[in-house]
Amino acid sequence: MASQILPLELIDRCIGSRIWVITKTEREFAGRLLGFDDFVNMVLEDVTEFITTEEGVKKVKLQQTLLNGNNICMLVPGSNGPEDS
Amino acid sequence: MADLSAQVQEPFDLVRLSLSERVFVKLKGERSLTGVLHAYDGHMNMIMSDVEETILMVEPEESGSTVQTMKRAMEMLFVRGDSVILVSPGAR
Repeated sequence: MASQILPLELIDRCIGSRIWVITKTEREFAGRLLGFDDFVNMVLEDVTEFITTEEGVKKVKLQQTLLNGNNICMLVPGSNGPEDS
Repeated sequence: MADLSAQVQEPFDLVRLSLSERVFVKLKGERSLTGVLHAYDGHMNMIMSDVEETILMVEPEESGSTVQTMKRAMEMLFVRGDSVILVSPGAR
């Protein structure tokens, strides 16, 4: 594993850039990563929350947020979220 | 793969043998991924590239429920280990 990059290292390199966070439930967050800890709790700023309901995707703007790592499923570095393609 | 039993001593050996190969990952919440595995750690956090995510949605209707799939592609992503159900070498 010596020449490999560890997963948390990749996230560390993303600090200061945009990141797209996909949770285990029907929610996603796109924002700038300020920091994270060993439990992958995350501090984000300038965040857009995307909530998927039967009626469609609802967007909510948030400022600086602490995101609980328990519900995080995937992280996509350098992405603006589900509408960025 | 005759000498697989000599190389694979513990579960993480199978993951280690899949580095830089395409894998199929099943996640909680009716999600699955196929992509190239680049890194993993003891929590089963993983880094994958060239990923296709498939989400399975069951919609109940009067005539019985229908199953819909939604797919998305990502170039590079980090997967948190606690949502991983299984990792299988060789993507479908």
